[in-house]
Amino acid sequence: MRWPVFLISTYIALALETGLSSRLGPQTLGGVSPSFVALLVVFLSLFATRAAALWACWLLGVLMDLSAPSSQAGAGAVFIIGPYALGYVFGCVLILQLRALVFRKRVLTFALLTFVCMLAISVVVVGVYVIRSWYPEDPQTIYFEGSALGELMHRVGMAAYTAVLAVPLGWLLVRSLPLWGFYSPHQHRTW
Amino acid sequence: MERMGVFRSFARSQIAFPVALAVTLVLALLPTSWLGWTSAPAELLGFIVQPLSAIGDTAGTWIRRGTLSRTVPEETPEASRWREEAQRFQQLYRAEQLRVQELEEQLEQLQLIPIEQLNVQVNRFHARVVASHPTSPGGTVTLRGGERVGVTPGAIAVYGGVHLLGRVIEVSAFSCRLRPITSRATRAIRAVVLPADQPGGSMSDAPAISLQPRGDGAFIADAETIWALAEGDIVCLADPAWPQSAQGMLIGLVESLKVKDSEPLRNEIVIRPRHLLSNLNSVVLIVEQESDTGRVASGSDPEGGGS
Repeated sequence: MRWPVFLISTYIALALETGLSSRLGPQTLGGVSPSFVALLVVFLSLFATRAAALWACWLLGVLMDLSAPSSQAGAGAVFIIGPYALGYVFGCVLILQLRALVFRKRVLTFALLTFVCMLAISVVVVGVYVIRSWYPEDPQTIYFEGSALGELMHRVGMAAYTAVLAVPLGWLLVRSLPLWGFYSPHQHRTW
Repeated sequence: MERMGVFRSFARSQIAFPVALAVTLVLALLPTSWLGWTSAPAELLGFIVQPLSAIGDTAGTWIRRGTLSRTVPEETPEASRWREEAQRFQQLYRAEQLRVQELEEQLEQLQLIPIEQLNVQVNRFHARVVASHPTSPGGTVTLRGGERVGVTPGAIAVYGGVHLLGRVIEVSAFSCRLRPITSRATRAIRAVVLPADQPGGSMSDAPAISLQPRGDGAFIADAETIWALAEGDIVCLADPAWPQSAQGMLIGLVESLKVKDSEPLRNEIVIRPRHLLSNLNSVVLIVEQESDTGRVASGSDPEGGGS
């Protein structure tokens, strides 16, 4: 994989995540918004080598953790490194297991795997936050605005929204494959 | 060079990723008090990403077709200006009423207040939203404008001059982080309820309530049924934990009332702000200046206890 291309794509995805994503969240649906970084996670998991995909997804998760602060009641914000890093790696491992069974360049495959991957990521992220919410801290850190179940449902909505967006954006990413320099020792005719 | 070679060998070894994953797991479970160091790399990352995220924010706002909440009907610019000016004077009047009430209480205790402390000098800054929380619609937002332009922690953010949006919790050199008033991390807020047809009514006679963020952009509060509150009533800030310049500002409107099953003489009311930070791409920050005596003119630490 060409890491400069990865870094540029990461920069764009993070900027879209923090700038554009929240504006695309319809108030009528509880403010669910798509995740551009998750699309990149799925793309890398589908086409990069195993080692490159894991490291790249881990790095994306760390950067996402540094972009999503948690608020402390009556105090400032804190950045917790780990939830998204672990979640993205878990999602990557899941996709790595499934990618040999699917037609990777099909946009519907991309969309379906995006939905599945985001669900996996959400379980890990919310799970870590739930564990942390048990800590006897003062001031208490607020990890989500509602309950854990409500947060999971919110993220299911985000997964669905991102899966819909994965159709056009997945198509674009697949068209950009030559730029990435992915090495695949097994060239499948179905590509 | 030799160290780089050792590092590269380690990075390519099979043990590197499991080690990284183990370290990440430990970091994920560390107590929050041990994670203060993460704000530095987060700030650096935000500084790098902000130029492009600001463009994305602008594009997103254009896609959403405007910066006003859908509850605000279409009106001409002049009508909008007059409406904002009228609301502004109403807010000033309410703030003055609260100040008079405070003075009367202090005079009763035979305390003298220096006249200088009654005049609150403020600076106003127009601040653009450059980044939002990626997953939480009620999460903190990053605004362009920091210490270099005079923003300080505790500054309030308003829209239309009177609609209270939130409070600055962290300030860096070029940006600041704003917590929405509707965030669950915001402590209980004291407010008063004014009739919808009397927005300039007496603050001292108005029913006082305590607002709790519900986590979905609205507040809940308890109210006595005898107060005869109605949908559409105006809820204004009356909390000494907030700066003087914020007193009397609009928090929202009463959206619904429901008699509590466990307490039939009390209603559970839902208050919803007219303007949400998530719908806006710019706000006005109000920073109170220190008085000549060297003390902050009013207001306590950000998010100080409101009870």
